[in-house]
Amino acid sequence: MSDTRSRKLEHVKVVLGKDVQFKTKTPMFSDVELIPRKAKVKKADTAAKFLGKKISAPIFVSGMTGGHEKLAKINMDIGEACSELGLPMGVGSQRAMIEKPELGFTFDVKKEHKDLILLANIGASHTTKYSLDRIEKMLDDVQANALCIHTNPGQEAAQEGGDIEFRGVPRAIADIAANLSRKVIVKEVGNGISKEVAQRLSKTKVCGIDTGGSGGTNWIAIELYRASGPRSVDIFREWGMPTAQSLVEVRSAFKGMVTATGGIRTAKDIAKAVALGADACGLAYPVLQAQNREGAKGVERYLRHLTADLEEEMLRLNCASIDELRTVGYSINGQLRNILSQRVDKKLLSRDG
Amino acid sequence: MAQGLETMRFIPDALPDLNLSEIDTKISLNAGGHAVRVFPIAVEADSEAAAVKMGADHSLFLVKNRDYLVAVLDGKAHRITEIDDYKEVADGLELAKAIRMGADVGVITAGAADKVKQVEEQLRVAMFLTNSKDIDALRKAPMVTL
Repeated sequence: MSDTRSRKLEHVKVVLGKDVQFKTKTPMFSDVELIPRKAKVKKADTAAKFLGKKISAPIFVSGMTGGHEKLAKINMDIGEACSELGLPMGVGSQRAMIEKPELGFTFDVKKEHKDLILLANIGASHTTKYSLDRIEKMLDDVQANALCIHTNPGQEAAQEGGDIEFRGVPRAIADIAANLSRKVIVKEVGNGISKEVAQRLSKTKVCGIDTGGSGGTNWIAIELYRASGPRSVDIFREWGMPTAQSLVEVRSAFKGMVTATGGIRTAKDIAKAVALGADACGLAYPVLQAQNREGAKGVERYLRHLTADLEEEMLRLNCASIDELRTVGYSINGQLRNILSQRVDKKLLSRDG
Repeated sequence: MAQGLETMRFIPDALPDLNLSEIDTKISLNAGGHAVRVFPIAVEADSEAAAVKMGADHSLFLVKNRDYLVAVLDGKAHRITEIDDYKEVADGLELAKAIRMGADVGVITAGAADKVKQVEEQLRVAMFLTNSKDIDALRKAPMVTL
């Protein structure tokens, strides 16, 4: 377990200090053009809904960390900012606190912020290892609103000694979704969810899919950096599906909640993602940077600016509400259009406003 | 990269129902009347004798100039029947793409015999990340052309 604990700390240091973003893949929102509505609006309201609750904008902080005493402050600072702003947040994998309950405090954000919408987190490869009761208790201990199961076969394959046993994982996820007292969301960590996986998840009680697409932080690159030397898996560094591609594919195949995460950096990205069908967008790396610079105030300032930028973008598009943004006209162009034309109904490649 | 493969991109499968180390990367071939199970990776050899000499570690060889494949079994080279297509590949991901595009085997150049293990590991990872439990499944893995 000391391996898990120290690995969590190392992950944050590597993300903040090393070049571990995707190099050749982008989220591909640059190939999406939104078409302003005709009727001018004077005000835009960014309020949205997340798991049935009102939030101030379709933005959340994606689960990142926890499981080491030095990482607790990151979660607490993010929790303070999200609570102030009325935005949801996730925590990183809580495996550490299942095995060592004394590390639970590093995830216990709702102790101070009871109204926060909190997403718990467990790895897909651990769903076959822990009983439903244990997972239920894990959520109870942090008062989580829902469970995110992160699937990361690429990261595990790249990690020295990674957990490469995924047999039984799809069935275990379906069982958890059917029996857990709270909703279950499945997310990737940077390699994207395809329409085939979304179709399979549609047959389960999983209520949400987070794209976890390529274009932002690259967890395969992080594990390659951490490795003791060059390895055969180095060639998989840029493996993955861009976030915009994953979003359109998942939306075409899955009727539940869909969130877009993976290289989301600007309000324009968020607006495009919402127009393409995302219920909300998750950010991680830029929030971690803001927390590293200035703690809770830094996170709050960053998210406040992002929300203000989104409001400005909505005004530019003449969308008074997120509902109107969901139906704004768009055109998918370039390489993204080429890729998606091989994967989904061509009707999804454009929409009149 | 072998012609055309650079424009092919696999679609990742985020929920493989597999154990990476137990994926079946072998194919069944007929080698001079013997049924063999080999990795779909052939190493170039100058002659059948050279293939036999290398054969302790590797089962499949492309005999150059005459351009035919042999499997080395029990110290002998046996000609392969049933190969329709092979492609030169630089690594296991290229090999996976070549197989997906119809090649029976991938060929790696002479002098790269120690690369076979690396190529096989890379092929295995590509199969894991596309939820391909065996080579037949890999042949149907979703893919796009850029």
